[in-house]
Amino acid sequence: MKTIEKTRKIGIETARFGRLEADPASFISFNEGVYGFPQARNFLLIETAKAGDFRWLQSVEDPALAFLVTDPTLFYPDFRGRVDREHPLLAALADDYQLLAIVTVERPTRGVTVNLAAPLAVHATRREGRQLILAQGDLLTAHDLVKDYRALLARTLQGKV
Amino acid sequence: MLVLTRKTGEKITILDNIEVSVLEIKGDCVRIGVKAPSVIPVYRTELLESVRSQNIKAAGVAPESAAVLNSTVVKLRSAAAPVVK
Repeated sequence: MKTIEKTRKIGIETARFGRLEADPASFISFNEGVYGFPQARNFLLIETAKAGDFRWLQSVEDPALAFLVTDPTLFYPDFRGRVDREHPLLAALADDYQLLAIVTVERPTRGVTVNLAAPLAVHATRREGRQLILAQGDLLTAHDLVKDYRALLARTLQGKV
Repeated sequence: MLVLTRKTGEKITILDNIEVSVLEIKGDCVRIGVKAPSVIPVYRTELLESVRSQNIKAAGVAPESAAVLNSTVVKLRSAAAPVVK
């Protein structure tokens, strides 16, 4: 049986959210870093009521580094199948891994894109993450999220999904 | 950088298990085949570069964007909701 330890929270400085307290056991570790940020290894997933389906992946090491992320399958229901096809090892993990896609917002009301070419796969229990690169021609680093969601909802209304 | 001249059908070997072959040369295009263990990822360099630059762009997203974006999504969803069962 596992020994029960008191959670030991540590302080994390962040540029966007000020000083946060978190248990290191809740960190998600990216042992290979994230493309463009090879030195960033540990991240904290921050959920807020206002952000709803969107969460922040805040770097523990770099206060200024945080990615806005979301579950891509909410907006692209067939996306998980696309990932599983290219990464059979992940498919074998079934529900033990979660996908997050990085969202870029150029201005608050427009220029919202989501990166489907390089989603993040996070192992739910081991809390290890990796940025995957999907070499499928139609998956881009910048898909228009709002336009695509509007189209998905329209198809849903027509009963096509 | 190591520079080698190869003809169609010739190969180079990296370590002892990565084989790069020149399959076809047509005008200014070269078709290349890479045989490597599945644990070794092989990508077109420009794809890696676009992922890197998109990540850098994404890292600059302002904190207030999350709530604004979520309200846009919630609005779209509730506009569609009446008919969705």
